[in-house]
Amino acid sequence: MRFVLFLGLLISNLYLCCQPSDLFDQANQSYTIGKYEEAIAQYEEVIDKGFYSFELYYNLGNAYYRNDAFAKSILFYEKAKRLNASDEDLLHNIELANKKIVDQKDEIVDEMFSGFVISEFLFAVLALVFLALAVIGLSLFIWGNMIFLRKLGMVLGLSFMVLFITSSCLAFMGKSNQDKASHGIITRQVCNVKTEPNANSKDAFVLHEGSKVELLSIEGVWCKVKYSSKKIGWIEKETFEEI
Amino acid sequence: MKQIVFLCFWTVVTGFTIAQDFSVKVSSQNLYEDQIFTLEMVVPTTQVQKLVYPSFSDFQVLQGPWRENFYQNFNGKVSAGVRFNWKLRPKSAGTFSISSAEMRLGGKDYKTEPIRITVKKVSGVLKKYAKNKDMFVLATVSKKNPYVGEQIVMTTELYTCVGTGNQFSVKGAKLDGFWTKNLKVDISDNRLVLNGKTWIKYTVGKSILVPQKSGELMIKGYKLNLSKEVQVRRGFFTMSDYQPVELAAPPIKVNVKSLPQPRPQDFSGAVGEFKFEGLLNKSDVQTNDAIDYKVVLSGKGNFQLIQLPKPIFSSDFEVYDPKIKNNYKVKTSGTRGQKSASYLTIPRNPGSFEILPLQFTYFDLNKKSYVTLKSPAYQINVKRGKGDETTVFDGKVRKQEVIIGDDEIRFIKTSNNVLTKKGKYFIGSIVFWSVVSILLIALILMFLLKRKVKSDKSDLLEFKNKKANKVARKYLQDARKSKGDESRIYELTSKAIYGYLSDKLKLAISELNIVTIKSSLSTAIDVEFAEEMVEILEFCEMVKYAPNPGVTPDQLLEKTEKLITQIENRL
Repeated sequence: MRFVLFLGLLISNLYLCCQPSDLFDQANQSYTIGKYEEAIAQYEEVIDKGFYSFELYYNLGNAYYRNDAFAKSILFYEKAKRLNASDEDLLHNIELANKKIVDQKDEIVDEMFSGFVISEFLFAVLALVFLALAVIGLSLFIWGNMIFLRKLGMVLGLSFMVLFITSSCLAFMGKSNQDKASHGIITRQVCNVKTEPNANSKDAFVLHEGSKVELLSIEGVWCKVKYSSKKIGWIEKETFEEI
Repeated sequence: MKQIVFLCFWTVVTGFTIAQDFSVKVSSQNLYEDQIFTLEMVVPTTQVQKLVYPSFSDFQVLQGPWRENFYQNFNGKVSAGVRFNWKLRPKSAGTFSISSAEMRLGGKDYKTEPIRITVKKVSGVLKKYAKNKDMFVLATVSKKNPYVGEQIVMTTELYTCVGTGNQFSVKGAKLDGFWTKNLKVDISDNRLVLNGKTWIKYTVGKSILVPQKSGELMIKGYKLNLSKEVQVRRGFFTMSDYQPVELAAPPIKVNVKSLPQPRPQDFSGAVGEFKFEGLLNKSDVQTNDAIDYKVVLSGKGNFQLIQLPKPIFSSDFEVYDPKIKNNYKVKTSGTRGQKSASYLTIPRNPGSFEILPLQFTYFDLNKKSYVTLKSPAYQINVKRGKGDETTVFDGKVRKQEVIIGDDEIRFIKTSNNVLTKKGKYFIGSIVFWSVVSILLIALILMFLLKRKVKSDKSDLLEFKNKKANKVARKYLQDARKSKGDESRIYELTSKAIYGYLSDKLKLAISELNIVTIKSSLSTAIDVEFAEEMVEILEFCEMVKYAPNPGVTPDQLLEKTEKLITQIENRL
């Protein structure tokens, strides 16, 4: 019992913090009474303190939208989308914000698995549950006094062990996915996409703030990007922000 | 301070007649700071008895008085007198008066009119720019800290104290963050004095600027290309020539104030002073009669960027695209006029309808606050017109689409304020690994515990086992000792095996028989072994009643011992 309490305390210390969430509430209040600039500053402060959540990104996106900073708004909506891609309000707002920016995609890129986000936390918890079940199964094997029970315990124990390993792997994948950004949002008003990673090379095409690009590879200060499905070029790192 | 000077007396030539007036004149009454001017006093006689100079304590005397006698013969009229000249410079800006000069001639006193002089202040900035230069361009704005949307005027002026060519070209300033409109200017010149030199000021350009965003905005990059007159020496002569020059205006910083927060929800972006109206031309109509609804905004402000609020008509009205009229003029004093949108709408169904009041919110620059204007609500009564059914409806019910006003973003999420620390993942964390290791340790512990319990439980059995072995071996040893008495050997052997198996197989002696032994041994060890065991038992049984088929008791004992050892090893 004491052990469980200790574990609970440890988790709550690591994953929840009372002070930034107070600030988050304040920011929400500022937003509610229409002080969007103040709300933005407060949300950004929470982020600066090293915290994030789907709601935080979504609300900050809203505040930027209200302040007519649509590129920033899209940036944070997309960040929120990485955490929860199925929220209806979010999808609605992203659609509206995308209508406000200069570049309108002429095609709709159907992003596969866009609704599926590997939640590192979910899979890690699942892995622990599976491990616990495996231990229960194996203990059945150890303690069982009937052949049938022992056999069942063995089979269950081993299969839960396999599930444990699989979901740990998925959780690690989710972690690396969350660490690495695959897309970026252009934050410069106008951004000339070059054909080569070189300022003197020709312009391949032009993007405006708020456009979402896929990041392919990086070479020095240049980043190879893909816009919609065909257009590929190089832009400087400072012209976009990673989602 | 009055300065009284007694003059020398001249011999009288023409008596006390005065041909010219006794006067004091200045070269200019409107001066700039630093402007040097001359003051001339004419004394129309050479026989003055007493003369008092005008006082100019507010001015610095650079030169003077210079005295000059004159003698004029003009159409036979002869006049003679003295002129006094001073070169003066104002000490500061302001309005001053030069007091009158006095003289006495032949017992009579004469007085001149005092002179008022205004000295205009010249801004220090201009003086600074004029230093060590003969021409420069300056851009100025009418207000340096306007609100977003407030109109300001930018004026560009060329100052020169040398001659210029009469053509010039302008490269406009970079005006990021402003809505701009250039106004036509009549290039006018205006003289002024800077640092003692006469300069000419030309107004080269005027633009209206409306800031679009708040913060520090820079106006820079304004350039003027023109030619400048220079003196060139050619042999003995100096000639004037023209030389191209490029003048850049110094940048101006404009600090644009953002409109106060919170902004009303329906704030239109309008800044200024406005009047707002909604006008309906008739309110009692028949179906299919056109109605005109006009939204009019008039006043002063940033009309260019204002969108008029759109009226909402009942879906039973057919509404045409509005005619939008922009009737405003952009002037330096502000943009004035009106903007209107007139909606032609036709009611298709009879009934009583309402046009909801429209709201227009703008930021009032005088009150420095938001003002909301409302147009009146109108009631429209629509009666069924003639020939209605045939022309429009054909008796069908009009289908109306449900229009969803879904062009607003959804509200923020406030229910969950749980935050996660960035870069902190559950997978691979200490907590994760400790839970994993706790579970694995629990598994291992359980395994060990099981073994412990097993051994505890089996202690008695083990004891019995060991004892069984001993007992069996004792019986067998007894059997060996009782040589010769074969039946006793067989009896002891069978006793040893039964007792031993009873303890080993945990079966009561009463339960033991050939069949149970065979079955339990074949499951515990194997069938062959069981058969061998049974063979010995059957043999022991048999020899009790039948003659020995030729197995010596030693062979039997050996075989039995071997079997028991095997059981000992394998069970």
